[in-house]
Amino acid sequence: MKHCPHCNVEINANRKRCPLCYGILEDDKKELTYQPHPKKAIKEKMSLVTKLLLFLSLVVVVASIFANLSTLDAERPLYWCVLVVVGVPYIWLSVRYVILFKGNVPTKIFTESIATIILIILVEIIIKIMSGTIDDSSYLWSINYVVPSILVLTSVALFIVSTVIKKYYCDSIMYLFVFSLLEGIYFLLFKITSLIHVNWMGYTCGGVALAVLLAMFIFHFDDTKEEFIKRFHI
Amino acid sequence: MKHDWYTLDNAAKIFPAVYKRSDTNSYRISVTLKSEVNPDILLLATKDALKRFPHLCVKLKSGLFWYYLEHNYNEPMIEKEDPFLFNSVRLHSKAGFMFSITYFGRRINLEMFHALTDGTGASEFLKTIVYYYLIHSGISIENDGSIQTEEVEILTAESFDDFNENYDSHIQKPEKEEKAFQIKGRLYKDNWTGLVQLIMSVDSLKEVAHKYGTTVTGFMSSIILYSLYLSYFKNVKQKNNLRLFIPVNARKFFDSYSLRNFMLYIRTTGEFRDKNLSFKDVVDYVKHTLTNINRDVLLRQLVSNVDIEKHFYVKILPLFVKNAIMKFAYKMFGQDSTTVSFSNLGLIKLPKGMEEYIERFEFLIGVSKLSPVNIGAVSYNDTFVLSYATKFVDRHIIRRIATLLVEEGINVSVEVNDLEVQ
Repeated sequence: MKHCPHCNVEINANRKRCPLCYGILEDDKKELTYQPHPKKAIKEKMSLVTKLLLFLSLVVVVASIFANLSTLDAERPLYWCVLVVVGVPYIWLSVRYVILFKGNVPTKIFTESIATIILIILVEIIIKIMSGTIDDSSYLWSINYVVPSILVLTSVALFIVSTVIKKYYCDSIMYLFVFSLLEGIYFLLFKITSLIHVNWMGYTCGGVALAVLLAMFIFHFDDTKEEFIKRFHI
Repeated sequence: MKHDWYTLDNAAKIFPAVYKRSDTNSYRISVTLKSEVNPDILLLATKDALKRFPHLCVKLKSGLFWYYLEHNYNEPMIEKEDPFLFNSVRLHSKAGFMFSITYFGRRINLEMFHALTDGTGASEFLKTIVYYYLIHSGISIENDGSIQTEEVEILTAESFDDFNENYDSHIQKPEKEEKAFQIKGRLYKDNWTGLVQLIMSVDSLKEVAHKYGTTVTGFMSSIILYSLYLSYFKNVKQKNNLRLFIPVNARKFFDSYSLRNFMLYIRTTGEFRDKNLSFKDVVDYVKHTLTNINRDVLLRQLVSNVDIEKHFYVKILPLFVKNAIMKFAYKMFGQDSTTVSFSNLGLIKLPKGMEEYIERFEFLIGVSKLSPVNIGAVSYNDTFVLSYATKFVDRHIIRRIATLLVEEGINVSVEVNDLEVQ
């Protein structure tokens, strides 16, 4: 044990200087009895591997832009670099928020499908704008085929998986509800706007939305009701 | 087996909104054993203890309007102590528990997110963990009723939100409090938290406290205030007054058995600006504050805290809007009326059979850039441990506290978290 002659206190630590007044301590030969604390380690904010991957990603993005612009056909310009510029951040977000994310499986499925929908719509719109091929009557294949396919397939798959693997069901309820909502919105857009041209996709979305909601209440009434009460309690 | 879900109690609602990895709004209760901790036994003990405290075995979920708590089916994890204090509660981890159990050498730490329970609730949980730890170590202990075990009935009242239970809209709210003096200083790098602990005898502390006609809490509060007065107010003009925030265990005033949050608070009154004060004057200030604690005063404060969440327009605001508002309000005004917090958990009582295996307890209150100095205290047997946690490199406040205690004839031993100040 050490003693600080200035503060007149015992210092139960293996130190040269008093932690209160920074004066030199005297050793009073008594045994140290303290339980020490772990030593502070230097924390690196970003590992070397992550920094390397980030650098390579940025190089790939910049290189793709230069390569695209330098080989662009003046008559029929095709901005394929948009795929890279949007795709690389998408891969980073997928790895960070889906693969490495410590959340549950339904959250990962939901996040990945919404991110994919946004990615595909963005890529198509940006390419069409930059190529000058977008106008009011443009046919967007992403909105007519990809978006409803992802919504329908994901919501049906999520319902089946969470029904078979019961432990996922409660975590899936809200995501199934949101998918049904999005499918319902898609159906409304199909009925009241001219954005969606593929009839059977519109009707399928509306039908699946209703079917999934009904299935949730028929097969899992208690769990679904309780989840709604928890999520919407005021 | 179906488990209950819980709404957040009134005190808890702010914490998820302002939680971040660098400021977890958690506190720590530790127990130092007389032998090295075995992590495998500690894990068994924690699992057993969680069966007794189902309202702690939860994870945080977001509703559209409010957060709520639902049963957590994951396994708790035992980890080695992080050198960075108040850093081990990870709300969004895979396990999702709102507390952490860590160990280092002979010490077991329970870091608790404040949305779950207060110091009283957490100390009961830790006592149960230690009890089961010793049982699993092969030690036979007779529970004298001071430990909540599976054999002791779980009362429904333990999971009550007693803020809501005692709310009465007809009670007049207290007046708005004035801004308090805020301590400034040099921050540690890397978001480090410094810890200085003063260890002393409970009996000698009580003797001196009684000499001044006050309790241990009253005496220590006076020491802290006088130290701050000497450091910042003596012969110096200050705009705002010194206010010490002292949590009050509301359970005894409201006949509550809740093991969730149920603490209210008082802030010391007494004018420190432009005054030539002695220590006795400060003791009298604190005595005046403490003797004015009664059910009616606390009830008015409870109503004031709970009232805002009862308004319909607040209820129907989406959670993300509430979070943004609470974050902003906390950052701008959250600690305005408090200079420093001092929380005395009181005397920890254990069955006689456990005493020979336990050295002491510690209680640390979390700090942040908004609340950079906080002081916790707890007693066990004849050992009183005052834990001064700080984001500042400076040591003058705790040095004065130690000096004042020594001047009163109390032997003080000092421990730190081993960071030599540069």
